[in-house]
Amino acid sequence: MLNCREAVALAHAEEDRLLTWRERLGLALHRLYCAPCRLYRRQLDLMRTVIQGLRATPPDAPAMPDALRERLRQRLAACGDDATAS
Amino acid sequence: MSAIVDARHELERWLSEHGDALYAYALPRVREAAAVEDLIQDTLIAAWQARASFRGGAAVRTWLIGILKHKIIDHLRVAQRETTLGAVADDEAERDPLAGRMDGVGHWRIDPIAFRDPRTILEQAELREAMRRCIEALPVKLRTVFVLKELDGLDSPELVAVAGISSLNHLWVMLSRARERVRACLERKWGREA
Repeated sequence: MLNCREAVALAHAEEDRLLTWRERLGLALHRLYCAPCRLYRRQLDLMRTVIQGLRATPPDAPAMPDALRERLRQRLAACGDDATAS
Repeated sequence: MSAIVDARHELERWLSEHGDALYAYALPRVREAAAVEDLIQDTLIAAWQARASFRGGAAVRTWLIGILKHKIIDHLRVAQRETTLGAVADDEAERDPLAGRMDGVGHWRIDPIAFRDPRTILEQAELREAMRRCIEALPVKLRTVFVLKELDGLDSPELVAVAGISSLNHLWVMLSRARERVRACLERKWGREA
């Protein structure tokens, strides 16, 4: 039987590669009787969903700060000459 | 002269129309504010220089973000290489983040703390922001591989090449350490008892 440390290692492996059928079976059996490891898996599930949200650039993402926009505007004005020269 | 005016005009227009989108894209991926600024500037200039290759099929914004994405990957690769050479921050990245949570026989000594359920749009946004900060707090080496994998969707062989990692196994160890650190960080920021 797997211990929790091994179950957690497999929970992470599941995020990055396909598990073998033996690993899948061991993990499923462990989770049957281990509530903390079931919770751990749900946490990784939620994290995956949140990361998808970050990946997609949510509509409520912070806007570019005005100071940064102004600095960029000035830097680009200076670079515009170089950009056309090359 | 008119070419210069054109360039300035176009760069300014891109900045005002797509600056927010570029900024929002860079923010979770790049920690240093100065680097975000440089990357956006480089992206707009590269776009101007490559404008002839833009066919107009894709939206301008998608095109600009595509350029930014490549610039960010390059930036992270260089940062990764510099960290590896410096090797100062490595100790932190090499530490097993679960060491204190498990006992000698590999069982939980301190159980995971359940996350709160993000029910409203506002809570979902708060959780995203908490996640962003947790990713930002990762040691550089771990953050780079985590961001390239989870946010930019690079697959494992690409990542091994880009980040200069010795093997797939090492990559997986790094990814699991990064993920566990982010999880533990979210326990503190988003746990039921927090």
